[in-house]
Amino acid sequence: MKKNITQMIVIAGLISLLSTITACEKALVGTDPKNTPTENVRFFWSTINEKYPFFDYKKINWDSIGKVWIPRVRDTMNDATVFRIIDTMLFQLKDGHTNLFGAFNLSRNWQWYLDYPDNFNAYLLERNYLGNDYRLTGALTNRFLDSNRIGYIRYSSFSSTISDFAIDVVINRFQNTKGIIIDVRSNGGGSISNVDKFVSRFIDKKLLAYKESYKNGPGRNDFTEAKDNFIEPEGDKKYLKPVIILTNRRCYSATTLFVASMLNLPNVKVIGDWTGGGGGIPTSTQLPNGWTVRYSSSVTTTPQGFNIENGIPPTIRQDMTKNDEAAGVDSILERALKELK
Amino acid sequence: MKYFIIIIISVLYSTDTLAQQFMAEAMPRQKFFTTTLGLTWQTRKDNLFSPLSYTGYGAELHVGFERINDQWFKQFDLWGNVNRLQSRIDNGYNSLAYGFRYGAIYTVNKRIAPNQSKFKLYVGGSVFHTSSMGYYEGNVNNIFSFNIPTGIAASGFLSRDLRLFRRNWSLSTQLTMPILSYNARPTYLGFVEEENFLEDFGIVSFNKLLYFDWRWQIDLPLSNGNRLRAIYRWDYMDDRHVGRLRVGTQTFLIQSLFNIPFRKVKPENKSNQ
Repeated sequence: MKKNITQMIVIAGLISLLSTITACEKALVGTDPKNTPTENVRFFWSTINEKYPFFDYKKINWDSIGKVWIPRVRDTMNDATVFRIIDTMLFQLKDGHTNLFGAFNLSRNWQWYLDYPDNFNAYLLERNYLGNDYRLTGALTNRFLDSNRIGYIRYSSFSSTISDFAIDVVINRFQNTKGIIIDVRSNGGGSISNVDKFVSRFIDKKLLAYKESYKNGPGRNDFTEAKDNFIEPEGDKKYLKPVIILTNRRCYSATTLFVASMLNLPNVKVIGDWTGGGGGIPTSTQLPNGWTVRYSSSVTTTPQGFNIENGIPPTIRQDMTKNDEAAGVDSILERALKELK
Repeated sequence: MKYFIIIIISVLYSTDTLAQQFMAEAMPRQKFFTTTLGLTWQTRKDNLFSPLSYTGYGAELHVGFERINDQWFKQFDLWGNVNRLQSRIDNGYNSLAYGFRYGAIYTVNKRIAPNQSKFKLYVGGSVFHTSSMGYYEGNVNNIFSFNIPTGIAASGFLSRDLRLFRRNWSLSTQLTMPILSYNARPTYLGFVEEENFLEDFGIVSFNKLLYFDWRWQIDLPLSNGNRLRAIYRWDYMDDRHVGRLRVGTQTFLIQSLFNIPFRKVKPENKSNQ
């Protein structure tokens, strides 16, 4: 009898131990923040306050934005209204890398190109310049222009991976040209590794491409030391003759980084409009209600210290004129051809 | 906490009446190759990635060896688990994450309790390398959470033989806690940067890294010298090195211990017995 009782004690004890450990673990991990409209907006404000790097550069008073909007939040508000409030606050950061991802909407500020002329017409380019005589070498559209004297490369997205093979084929193809036009207009960015790979074929020695510093603490001035980013030359053949890059305001993020890197080279000019910017590498966090907020978290400058967040000015400013466009002429591309002749 | 200690003491002391004579006898040397399979329940919360805790089930696998005698307890354990996790907020959009853990630990413990004691208490140290990783589907760029401590730990092993349901069993508990470890965490922003990965290493101790691996296990010795073991394992990590990561994993495991005979035992001796 005594033995049975003891057996029961052992089993009951082990079960109790298990439930106690489970309770302990819950206590140690802690509870999640409250999922209320007020808590979500506060958490969002606080995250941006601690991690967004451009308040001073853009002269944004985030404290003031918080004071205006947080008191307006009521816990009775529905998701759509809370989303709109956060969207309104985010919009004031004027940053294309900043979004709120909810299941029913994606907030954005795309004024970095919406407020400016488009300066690119794909329809016109395809019919009047590319025709049928062009190659699609991986992600790179390319053809000869001006009786084979000039090479033209169009790269429409740095999200499309360019292989070493593809870039080498194109660089080899244009070895005997007078110059190359690289058209990255309306390229909204993508992977930085594609930037490095592309630039690596236009240099014959290690290039200090840009500098980066990251937020490393909650204070406004908590940044890592600016780190030099170098690009090493790669590929069998390099292209060291004149290069002209065509840009418009839709050149964002990795594309701006590409332009910044290439402008360190003496043989490179940029024709078109300012790039859209987007120098901060985006990072993200979730809110207590499960929405994800994305925001810039680093500062990128040229080696000379120019902050590229709001874009890079062209060497030669050129818009596409309405008259040219109506006549089927790409003013920016024509200007580049003229420069290389 | 008081309740917790009372339960542990009551479980161990309730076995007193079940103690058998064979326990006081000198323990034979035993060496085992171990394989283990089990189910996990993991809770993960990494403030660098989300304020939400993620929970879910997974599977765990171990291989290793174990050597125990009157004076020493030595163990090598290589393990890993994979868990599919979900946040409390299921908005059908970005509430999924995956938790991965692995570890390798070598433990050497010396028996400190007298041979006559019904409890066999071994204490000593461990060398360990472990990692807790998470993949957050809902995040952008900073999707990979991790901490990778490597270091030395204090460890203890307490066992007690008993008779239960007309069979001989061995009930034991094992605790491992790091004293000093070298730890890797993502940057403040949750990035894994190739260039600064090593910069995130740093010596941490109890104030920055609370970590323990606590096991309760009950062994059923089999007639062929092998053993079958049921393990309940609680592995908890609270890393405040960069941000704050808390990961708790509770695991139910079934372990097979395959007896490895000692070479010194000659066949002639056996026949003489």
